[in-house]
Amino acid sequence: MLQPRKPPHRKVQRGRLKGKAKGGTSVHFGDYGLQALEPHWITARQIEAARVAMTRYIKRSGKVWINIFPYKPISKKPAETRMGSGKGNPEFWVVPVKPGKVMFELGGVSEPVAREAMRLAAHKLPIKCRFITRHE
Amino acid sequence: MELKIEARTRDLTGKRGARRTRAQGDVPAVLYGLGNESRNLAVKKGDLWDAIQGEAGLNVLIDLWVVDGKEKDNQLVMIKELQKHPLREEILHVDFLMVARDEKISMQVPVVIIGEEESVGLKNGGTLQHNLWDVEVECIPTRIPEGLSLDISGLDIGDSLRVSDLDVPGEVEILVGSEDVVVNILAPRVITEEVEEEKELLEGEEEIEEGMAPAEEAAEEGAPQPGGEER
Repeated sequence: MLQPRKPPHRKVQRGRLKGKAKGGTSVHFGDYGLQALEPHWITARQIEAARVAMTRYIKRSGKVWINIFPYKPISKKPAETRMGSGKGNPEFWVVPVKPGKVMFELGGVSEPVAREAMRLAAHKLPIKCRFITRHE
Repeated sequence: MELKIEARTRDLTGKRGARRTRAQGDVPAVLYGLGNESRNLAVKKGDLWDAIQGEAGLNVLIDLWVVDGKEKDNQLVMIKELQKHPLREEILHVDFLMVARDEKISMQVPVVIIGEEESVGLKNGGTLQHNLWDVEVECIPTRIPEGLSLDISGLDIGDSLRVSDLDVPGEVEILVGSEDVVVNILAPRVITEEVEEEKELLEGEEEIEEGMAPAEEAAEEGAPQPGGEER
């Protein structure tokens, strides 16, 4: 699964997810893209699940680009622990995604294949997404 | 041939002014270039949308008529920058650049791929990889090509075509390196890769199961669940 090789900080604050994506809102590398329509944290596991779903469907053809990287560590306190005693341990990695962000791109396949692959990938994500093409 | 668009001068500036302009059904715009002072304008949303839908796309040459009270003057302009809403099909702002008919300008022109059906590499299961979608060129505004065609019919797996292979009209000068790769055909992924992927996936599933195990065990032992009452 994706995670930073050398994280600058072991634990970070949660932050807020306000507004729309400022960059990466159009297809840059491939012919088709999967665009987020809602703000949410996307975990490394979800990204991996979406990638596997996509690559399995397109089989040996095509190329997949992942435009998001889970750089944010999320800590969690263990179950049945009393409050206090400091912040919990880092458990998983996420990327905060804002509406408009093109998360995955696909190239070298026909549009119906890309559409279905993206639909399968979108089912692995916790947000509403839409399929876009390069010329939109 | 240039398209005619009418614009009016805009007094409302800044975030508030731009929002008010959009609320009136117009697109806030700015006009500059050729050493002139910049002017704030507003253009009709529909006119601008129609202008960029043509074959030339964003490289369309526009004859912009600016109405300022009772005065009216025209300028030959091109679109320098177009800001779009990230989700809606809405133009938020446009920059018009004044151009002279006989003065060379640089712009991005798209690469048009032809002969995809006849390509040997694609027929053998290869994947077409674009390294350059647009190429920066220099020419006079009236000679801007709609696209630079590239014939890939003779391209096999592992082959690539460079900027020097583009079909460029005589009056157009290419500003990027002639040896830059525009497209290449990648070999289909071999089966071993798929097997590795399956292995990775299985490992991932095992990890998930391992991660779940303590919680399941705890539930079986009758330990209190977080947020729940003690049995």
